[in-house]
Amino acid sequence: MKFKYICFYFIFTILSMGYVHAQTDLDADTIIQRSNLASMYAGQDGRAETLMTIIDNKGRKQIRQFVILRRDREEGGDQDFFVIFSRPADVRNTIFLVSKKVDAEDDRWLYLPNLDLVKRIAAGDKRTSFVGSQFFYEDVSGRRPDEDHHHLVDTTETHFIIDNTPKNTASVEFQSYRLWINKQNYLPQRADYFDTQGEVYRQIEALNIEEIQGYPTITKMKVSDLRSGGSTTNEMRFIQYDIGLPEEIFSERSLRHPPRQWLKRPKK
Amino acid sequence: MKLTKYILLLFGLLCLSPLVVGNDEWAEDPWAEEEASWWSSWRTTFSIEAGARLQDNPVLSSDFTSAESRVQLQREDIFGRFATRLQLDGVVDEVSGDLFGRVRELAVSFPIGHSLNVRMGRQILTWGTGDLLFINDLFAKDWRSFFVGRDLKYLKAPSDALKISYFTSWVNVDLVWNPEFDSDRYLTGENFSFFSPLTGTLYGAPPRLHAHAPKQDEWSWRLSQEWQNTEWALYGYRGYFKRPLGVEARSLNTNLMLVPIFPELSVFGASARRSLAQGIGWFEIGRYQSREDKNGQDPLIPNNQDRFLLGYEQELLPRFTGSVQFYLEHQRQYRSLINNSLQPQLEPEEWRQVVTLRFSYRLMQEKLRLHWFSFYSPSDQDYYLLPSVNYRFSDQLQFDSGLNLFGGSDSHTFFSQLEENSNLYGRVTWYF
Repeated sequence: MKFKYICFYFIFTILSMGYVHAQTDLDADTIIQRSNLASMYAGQDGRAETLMTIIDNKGRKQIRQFVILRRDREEGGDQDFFVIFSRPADVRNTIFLVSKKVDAEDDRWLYLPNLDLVKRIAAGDKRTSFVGSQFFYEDVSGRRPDEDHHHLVDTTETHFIIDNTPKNTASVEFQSYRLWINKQNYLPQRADYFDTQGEVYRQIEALNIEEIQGYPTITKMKVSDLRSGGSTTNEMRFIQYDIGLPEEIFSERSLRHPPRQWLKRPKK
Repeated sequence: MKLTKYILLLFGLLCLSPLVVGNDEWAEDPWAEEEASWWSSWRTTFSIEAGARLQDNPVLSSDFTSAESRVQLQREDIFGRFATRLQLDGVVDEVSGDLFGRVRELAVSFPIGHSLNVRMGRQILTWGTGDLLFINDLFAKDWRSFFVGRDLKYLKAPSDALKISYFTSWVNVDLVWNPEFDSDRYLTGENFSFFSPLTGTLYGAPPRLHAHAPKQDEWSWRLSQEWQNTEWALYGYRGYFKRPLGVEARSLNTNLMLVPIFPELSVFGASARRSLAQGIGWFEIGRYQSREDKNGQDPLIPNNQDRFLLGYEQELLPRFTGSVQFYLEHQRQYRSLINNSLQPQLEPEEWRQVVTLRFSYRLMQEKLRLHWFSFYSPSDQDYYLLPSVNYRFSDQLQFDSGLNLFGGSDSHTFFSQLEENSNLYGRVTWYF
């Protein structure tokens, strides 16, 4: 079963979020909550096409390309994702369906078209490679705000700088991470991950932010593995919000009969 | 001689492949609208595989279980509401010396109204919860491909069928009609020997075993729904045993001949699957009704059975997943089976048990995958082990290798009879 841990959530980092007025005197927890909403819950639903370019430590390049549909069950709460791959060739038309749960493990299904097989996937470690990229499942699905202690270390003209330390150190590979959150739109623009020696070994950057239907959206982001030298760049295009996706799209029916009218690229 | 050339060719290509494929950059615009032209939207896969026996087989001369080059062409198209799938395979089989083409998929699917979907044509069909154990999935399987380590997708053989799916908020209904029975691709003695209860010895071709498949139709249905985070399903099947498990006496000229047949079969079953503890749990049952031997008295026809399956899967460590299944096959009229049997010592146990284990480990950022799958039957005292490794060199090139190890204490039991076919295989696959 190739690409079990295939993806999806990217987008909602990217299909993100409404404009919130920057305020002063906010505490770190509030900023993180707003950032979570800004980066994960833009609009009621959305559609996007994603191209991931994975460069390994030897400079070899791989591609992952997919269309993603997202629907919020509740603002700041549970969400559904439908991800269908077009590249690489060996996973074409493979579908990943995720019911993201805030208070429980996500439900995940994988559809393998060559076997006509709907496979249910056991919950996995969220800090392992996502479809072979340097992104982790959690980077794109969003880390629950209450899993870390947050500390506002600085406020610059443009950013809140927040240090985050995990409540359960056994479940993660980092000692802490520092976030740069845009004061205007609350989108996270940079994350540095520190190891036990206090060295930065991993970095995520938002390379491009565009406003789409009024929602500031990260349309290009990059993760770098500073130890190995590998990186993954994630680009999104053809993004649409609030398209009225029906609930029944996120079901076994859509795995065996993909909802073409929602997947096709919007005409200009 | 032919084989030697073949192996040389294989190794030659193997050595060249990283150079060739390594230069293949994504020259075109990855965002370009697809299906620029009908011609360019074919996807091509090319694979070379070879498998060698790990021991001599007393009834088969070839040391190879597989040696083939395969080109696969695949495409999907959308014409308004109609979606089509087409997949063609061209194969050079060096073991048999055959060259053949096959249409693996040629199907069109379309919705009717809001809640009905139709798919017709040659298609791959799957349902049920088992992992390499099938109770209610009676769609055709290709065991010959599976046992030599071919890509897993070839385990599912195509069916020429009409599938109608009806979706409502409280239940989904699937109905599959095969106008003509599609049997499994069963062992014929070519390339793979098996135990013949008629002779009491290992059987190998020539002549290859051939059973006339009935020309009648098959029906399969399923009712399914997700409720309270659990996927429930009820199943039905009316058709034939998928392998020629029955024997019929026919007079040919003045001789009495015993010929293999596909006896009539009906199955009713159910399954459930849900997240459980830290993983996924599943359960499936099926009642097999052998319609030509309702009382279990005909020694030439398989008996009624009940089948049970219980499974659980969990990620044990990061990137390391394990699963276990318990499977039971119960002969419902065991006393009748034994009393009427021509060879009681060769009949299955009243309760046949199988335990499967699967472990998967993903390494090197998912480029390297190690798999273990094993069947072990405590009642038959036999096993089938399938360790394998997959290395993804790039998006265009993958390497696979593995073992198919059969064994056991008796010569006639399900896995044990295949012992002399244990093999080591390797495969290189290019995606264009």
